[in-house]
Amino acid sequence: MIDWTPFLITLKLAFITTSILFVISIPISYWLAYSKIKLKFVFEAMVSLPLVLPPSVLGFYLLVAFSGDSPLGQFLSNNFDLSLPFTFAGLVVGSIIYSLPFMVQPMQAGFQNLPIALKEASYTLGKSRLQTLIKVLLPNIKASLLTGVVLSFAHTIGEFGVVLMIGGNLDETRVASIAIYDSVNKLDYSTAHTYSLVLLLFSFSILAVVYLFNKKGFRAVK
Amino acid sequence: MIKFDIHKQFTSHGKTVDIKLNATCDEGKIIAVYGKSGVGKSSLLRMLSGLTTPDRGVIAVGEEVWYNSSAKKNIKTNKRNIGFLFQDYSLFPNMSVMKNILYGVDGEPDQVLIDRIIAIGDLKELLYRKPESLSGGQQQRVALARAIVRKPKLLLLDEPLSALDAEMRIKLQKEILAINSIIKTTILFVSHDLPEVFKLADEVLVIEDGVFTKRGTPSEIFSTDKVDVMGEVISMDENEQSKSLRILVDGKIIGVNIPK
Repeated sequence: MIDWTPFLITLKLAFITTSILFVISIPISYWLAYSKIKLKFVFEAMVSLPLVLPPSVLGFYLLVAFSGDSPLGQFLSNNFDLSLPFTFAGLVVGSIIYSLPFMVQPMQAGFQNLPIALKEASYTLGKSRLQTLIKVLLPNIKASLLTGVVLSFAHTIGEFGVVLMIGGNLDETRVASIAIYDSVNKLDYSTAHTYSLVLLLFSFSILAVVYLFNKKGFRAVK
Repeated sequence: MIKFDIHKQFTSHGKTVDIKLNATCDEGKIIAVYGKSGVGKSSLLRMLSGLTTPDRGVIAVGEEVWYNSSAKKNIKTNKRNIGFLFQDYSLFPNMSVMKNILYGVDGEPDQVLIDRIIAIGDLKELLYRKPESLSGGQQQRVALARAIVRKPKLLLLDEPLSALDAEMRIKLQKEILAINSIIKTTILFVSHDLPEVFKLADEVLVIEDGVFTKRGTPSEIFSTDKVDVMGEVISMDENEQSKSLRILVDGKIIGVNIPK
């Protein structure tokens, strides 16, 4: 009988990560799209770093940063009674950092592709930046928002290196990709096949739905 | 009364332009800012609206000071109570025509005014359509309605008719006059189209290389001095004092006297 727990943990992790990323990426991508400060490229490079960094490197640094010996780990422990290494909360934080560019970059591109006059027209009609963002900008970058959500969700589902480094292979932190690795290590190829097939079909279905929606009208403003 | 005295240095088409513009405009007048491309016409409107910040100067509308560099005062665009008509319409694609028109209205809308504006703009049949399904002329009529429905203290039109064909331009010119007879706001519009200036403007401010060089009614400005006009010269009379040209511009004949 197949154990579905790794899939439930994976979905829970992907859902929470994507939800938090969606909220925090809006101000980040807005700022990156419209800020004119000279050092913007430094922040863009920081956001994009997980795209090129080996997951094990990122995972290692996060593990060190979260450990009880580090200033951050001690701060979290003393003030919030929170320990991140080898916990689900640690997985969420690691996933957010790891998937940040997958949410921010489509959103940033969406903002940058909108005609600047839309924003300016809204200001001349008496609306604040926040009102303009909510009523004009976000509704006109639906395709970019959807792309960001799907890429982040799918990327979180497929994570391996970061979650292994931060979460290990415990009951609470064993996501599907680690369960596959674990099964192969135990030479249980049948379970590994089943897990892999489910992940494959799930990922394909998500992408197919996205392309379907994009075709049906979630188009960005040219 | 609208007063401004603003300075700004900017680069246009690879050329640095020093804008030093000052003028006082009476309330309720339609004023044309006339000049070639790249001399600072649009920059003036953007500075008055707050979309661009001047390097220094003062902008005051009625009793309100919108910008004063000495006092470090700069009221944000959304607090200036302006209407701004962009050359490219800039309607919000996610909203219907009706929602676009009502977007800038805070609180209870003035339904009588809205109905009149919709009637003047002939927009009744378009209200529930999305902007992408409208022609350029229809989009600009919606944008005009949207800009004026909130009764702005200052209406800024940035070459609003330049992208339209001749027939639609004449229709929009009539609409602008009809609408201004209702809301009686001050209108500043940028143009390099002489017939448009003659049709709409009470006064003309001629701008050259970032400064106002002439001011007067359209007939004062364009019949007594030399002005660059893009058109075809169809006749020329000459006497000892001046040359008199008749020029065909966009289907209209303009008379121009050039002193010798």
